[in-house]
Amino acid sequence: MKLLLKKIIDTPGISALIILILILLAFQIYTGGLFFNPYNIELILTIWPELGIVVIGVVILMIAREFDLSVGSTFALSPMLMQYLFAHTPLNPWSTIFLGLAAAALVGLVNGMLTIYKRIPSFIVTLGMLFIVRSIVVALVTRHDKADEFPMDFFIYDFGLIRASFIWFIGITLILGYVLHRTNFGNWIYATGGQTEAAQNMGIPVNKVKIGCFMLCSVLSGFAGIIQSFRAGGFVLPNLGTGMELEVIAAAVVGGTALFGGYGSVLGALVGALLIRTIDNGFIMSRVPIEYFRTALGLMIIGAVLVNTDLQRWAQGIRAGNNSDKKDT
Amino acid sequence: MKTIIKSFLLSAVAIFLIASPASAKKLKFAYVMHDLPEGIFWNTVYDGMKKACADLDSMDHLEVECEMVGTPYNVVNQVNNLRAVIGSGVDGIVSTIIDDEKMDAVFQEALDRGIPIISANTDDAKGSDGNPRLAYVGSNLYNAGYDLCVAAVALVPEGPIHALLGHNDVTQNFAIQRNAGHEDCLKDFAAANPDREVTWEVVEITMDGPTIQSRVGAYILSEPKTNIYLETGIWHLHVSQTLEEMGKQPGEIILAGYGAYSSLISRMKEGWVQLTNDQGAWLQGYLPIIQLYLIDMGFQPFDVQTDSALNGVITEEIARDLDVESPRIWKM
Repeated sequence: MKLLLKKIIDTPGISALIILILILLAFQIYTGGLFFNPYNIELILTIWPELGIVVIGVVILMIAREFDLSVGSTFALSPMLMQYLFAHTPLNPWSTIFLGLAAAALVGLVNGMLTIYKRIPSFIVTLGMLFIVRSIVVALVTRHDKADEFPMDFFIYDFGLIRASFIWFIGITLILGYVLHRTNFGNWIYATGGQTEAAQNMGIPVNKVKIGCFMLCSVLSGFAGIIQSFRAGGFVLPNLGTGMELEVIAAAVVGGTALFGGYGSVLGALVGALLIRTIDNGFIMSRVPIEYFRTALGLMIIGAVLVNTDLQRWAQGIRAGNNSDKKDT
Repeated sequence: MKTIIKSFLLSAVAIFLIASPASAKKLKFAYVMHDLPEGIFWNTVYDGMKKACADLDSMDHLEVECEMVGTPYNVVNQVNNLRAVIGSGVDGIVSTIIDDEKMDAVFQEALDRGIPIISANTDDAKGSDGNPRLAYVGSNLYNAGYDLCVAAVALVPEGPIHALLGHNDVTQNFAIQRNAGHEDCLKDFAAANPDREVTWEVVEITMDGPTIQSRVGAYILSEPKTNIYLETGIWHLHVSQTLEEMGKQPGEIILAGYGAYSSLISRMKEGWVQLTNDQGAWLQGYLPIIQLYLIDMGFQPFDVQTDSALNGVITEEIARDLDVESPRIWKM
């Protein structure tokens, strides 16, 4: 029984899920049953995918032991380029969406190449890229009145409780969850992040794996940015996604992803993103005074990580205890 | 032969000097602000500045250069940037005053070096009594907040009022002053209408669209008597989408905020947003540069309240007649 419990808790993201459930229940009780109001659920399910899709990319990159601080800028680049091309060229909306995502992939490729082949820490490369891409976004700001011509329904159609963006989110989660946990490529990502040298010795193409993760992370950021711009009526603010890099890292860590690579899961990404969005929403309903809002938010994030870490240590303790029992016998 | 070559070169130089507009006066102006031109607001200010520069430069007797220098909200960096442009020998400076004390010395330094300096967008709380700047071009943030709130309250002619005051950042001057205007207006209205129940609550909503939607949506669910939403920033468009998703009707909750951008104006035409304040972003870029030129010509500096030069508060009626292609409307 203990071992089963240990196995459950030791699974990346499960402890975060337990914390999430406890927090949701606390909010539900504290707000007198208001928290699970259908409108509130709809509200959370609308904004969760936009953060969640980015967090999945960041988590996979972090498992490969790299960071991307440029996700917020890339989040704005794809929709801004899409809009710019649509307003200034004869391209059709689908082509502009494709080129917006291609630009995001290029950002990821450059991030990866500089990190791997020039041996510059990804923290520095992507910090620089954050500014470069944001500057391009500002330069691309454009005025147009053709937002209605974008195929918005395909990405954000409102089904009532959920939007099409939620279906995209679940689809991406399932595919990348399968890739990460059930394929060779997924194993390579874990091996690359956990023991890079050993992985290299085993013949895993660690450089290609990392560059692939950088590109995936950027494309997912751009895709989420396009979804959010469609939800805003097809218009893009040049400061779209500003500050997102810290939010997604917080969500990844809350979701149980290790900062030093080799540990994490898509489930953790989902839960981390939902926790960040839920905490925010629940605090407002609980009427935390304006002066203490950030304190409460910060404490909750640190608290979630602490509990997460303690649960994992406890699980490891059980494993160690069982191993010593086996040795004694 | 050498003499011939020398004569030829001297003649060429002389011809070049005569042919070039030697009489053209060169002016270089700098706009030092407290933010990066990422937001649609500063982008529009930048457009205004560029147009002013181009207009002046098109005159035969002038060659005008303008540069905009920004830093993420940080008074120390802004003072350093001001010192750098003073050192570069510009002919005039426009700057925002985000701190009532820490920027006085550097403004005086510019004036001591004979460089005219005026403030735009954000002024010292005491105006010219608090800072030696020659003039201010921009909106009076407190008055803008007060006036917007007065217009919002007028749209609820009877019954109780419960206003949600969306505060974008409790550390930033623009939000603090506007929110103070909102709160004072509600206090005054409550005092003048003792027969009506007037309540309000301030909630920090951030400057991120989805977070704002989450927070405002959650608040309205937990406080269904809310009938006015007054925001210190430009995200009332996002709030209108949340209200629509929540099944509210246009106008059921009065939405008011700041900014004049095309999608917001479209939303106003649909009846989802009732009021917005146009503080004249483009004018805040255009007019200070023109004024620096006028000061150079010998005119006395003068204050301009950019939102009173326009229809400060844009109502649904005004919005219907606005041309979204006008430079007045922010690009996005």
